[in-house]
Amino acid sequence: MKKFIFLFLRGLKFFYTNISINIASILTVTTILFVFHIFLTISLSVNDFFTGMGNIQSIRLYLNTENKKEINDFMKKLNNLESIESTTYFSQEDTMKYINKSTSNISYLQNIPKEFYPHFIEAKIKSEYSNFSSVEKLEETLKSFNIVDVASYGEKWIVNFSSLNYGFKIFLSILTILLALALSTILYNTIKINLYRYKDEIKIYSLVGASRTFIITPIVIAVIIESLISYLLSATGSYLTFLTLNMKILHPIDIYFIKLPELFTLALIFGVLILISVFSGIISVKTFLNNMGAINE
Amino acid sequence: MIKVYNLTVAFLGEKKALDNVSFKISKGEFAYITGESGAGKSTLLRLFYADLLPSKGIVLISNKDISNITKKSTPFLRRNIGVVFQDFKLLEDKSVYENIKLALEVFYLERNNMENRILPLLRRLGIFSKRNTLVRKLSGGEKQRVAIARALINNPALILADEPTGNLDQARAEDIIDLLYDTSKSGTTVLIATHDPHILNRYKQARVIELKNGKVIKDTGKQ
Repeated sequence: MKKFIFLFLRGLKFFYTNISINIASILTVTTILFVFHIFLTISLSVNDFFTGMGNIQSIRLYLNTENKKEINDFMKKLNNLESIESTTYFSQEDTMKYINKSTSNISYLQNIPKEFYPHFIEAKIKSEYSNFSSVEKLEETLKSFNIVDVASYGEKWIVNFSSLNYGFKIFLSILTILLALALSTILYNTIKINLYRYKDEIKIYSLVGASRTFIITPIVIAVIIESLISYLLSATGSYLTFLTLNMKILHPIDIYFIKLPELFTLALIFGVLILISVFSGIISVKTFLNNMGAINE
Repeated sequence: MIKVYNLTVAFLGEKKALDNVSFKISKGEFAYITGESGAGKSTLLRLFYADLLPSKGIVLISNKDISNITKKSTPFLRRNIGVVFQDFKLLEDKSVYENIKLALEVFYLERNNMENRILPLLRRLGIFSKRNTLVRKLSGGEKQRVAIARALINNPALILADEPTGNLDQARAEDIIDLLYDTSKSGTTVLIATHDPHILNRYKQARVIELKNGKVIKDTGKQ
C-alpha cells in the first residue's frame, strides 16, 4: 500500500508537470468520446424506438365466414391459447364506423357501403409473447384453423425495423472499434512524447535500480487521470446537450425519442476506456524501455 | 566481490571489445582499470552493472552469475552498485538534493528518512551548502561530488567509476580520487577506469589491471 501511494503521488506529479503537453491529448480524447457519446445516445434511442415499434401487440385475423356461431366458437378457442390475452370481433359495420371516425376528412369513404369493409378478429397478444419469433409461431398456429383467411400483424414493417435496428448496431460496433483504436493511438503517442522528454531521468532511475513497476506505474496513473478528465468532460457535455435538447425542444412538442444512457452503460464505457488507457500506457512504456538503449553508450 | 572468467565481448561487425579476460577483485579492494582509449575499460565496467551482457564467459558479482541476467533482476543488482561517469549523468535542471534523492526513491523511503541520509553525506562530501543549487550552476568538481554522493547514498558494496576525473583539472581530479579511496577503506570495493597517469600514480600501492585491445596485458594484483 505504501508503495502504491508513493507511485500514485508520482503519477499525479507526472500528470501535473506534463499538463501543457497533455492538454492537447485531453481535448482530442474528449472530442472523440463526445462524438462517441452522441452516437451512443442516438443509437440507444433508435434501438428503444424500434424495439417499441417492433413489439407486436395484436394480430388481426380476417375470416372466410360470417357465421356468428362459428366465429364465437373460434374466439373461445383463441382465448384458450397461451399467448393470447383477449379477443375482440369487429363486424363490417364496426369496421366502417372505425374507418369513418378516424378518417373524417375523407368524405367519399362514407359512400362505400358496409359490405365492402372486412370483418375480423383482433387478438391481443400477451406482452411476453410479443417478440417477432413468438408471433411467427402464433401466426402458423392460427393459419391452421380453416376459418382464418389471412393473419396479419404488419410483418413487413417489423422486419424493416429490425434490419434498420440491426444496421444501427453494426454501425455503432464499427464506430466503437475505430474510436477505441484512435484513443489507444493518441494515448500511446502522448505517453511516448512524455517519455522522450524524461529519457535521461528514466536512464538514471534505471541506473540506480528502479524496477519496471517503479517506472511504468506513475505513467499509467497519469494516463488514467487524463482519461478520467476526458471522460467526465465528454459524458457531462453529451448529457447536458441531450438534456437541453429534450427539455427545450423535443418534450414541449411531445417527442420523447431521445433516451439518455443509463448509469450502468456510462460505467461500462468508462471501464473500457480505463482498460484501453492502461493497455496503451503499458505497451508504450514497455516498447520505450526496450528501445531506450544502454545507460552509457 | 568480482570474478570474471574468459570474458569476451564482441559487437557485430567489429573487433572484440574484450577478449578472454579473467581476474578476481576482492571485497574492499581499490583497483584501477587502465589502458588506451578503446582498450575495453568502459565495456568491462558496463558488464558489471549489466548495461551490457557478455558474448562469452562468466561474470560473478558477490558470487551471483550476472552473465545472463534478466531485465527483471537487473534493478536488484544495480541497487548494490554505485556508478560514477566522466559526464556525471546528472539531471542539470534539478537541485543537488533532488539528484541524490533519485537513488533513494527506488526504495520507497519516506521524506524524513531520505533527508537523514542525504544531508550527512552532503556534509561529508563538502557540498552541503550547494544542496538546493541546480546542478547546471555547479563546477565540474562539484558535479562529480554530486555524482559520487548519488553513487554512495545506498551504501553500495561496489563503486564503479568510469573516467571520473576526465573533465576535471588535476587538483580536483586528485580530490575526487581521494574521496573514492577513502570510501574503499570502509569496505566498499572501488573500481576506477582511467588512463590518466597522474591518477594512477596517486595511490601507487593500488592494484592496476591494464587492458590493450580487449586483453589483460598487466595485472599487479595477480599472484
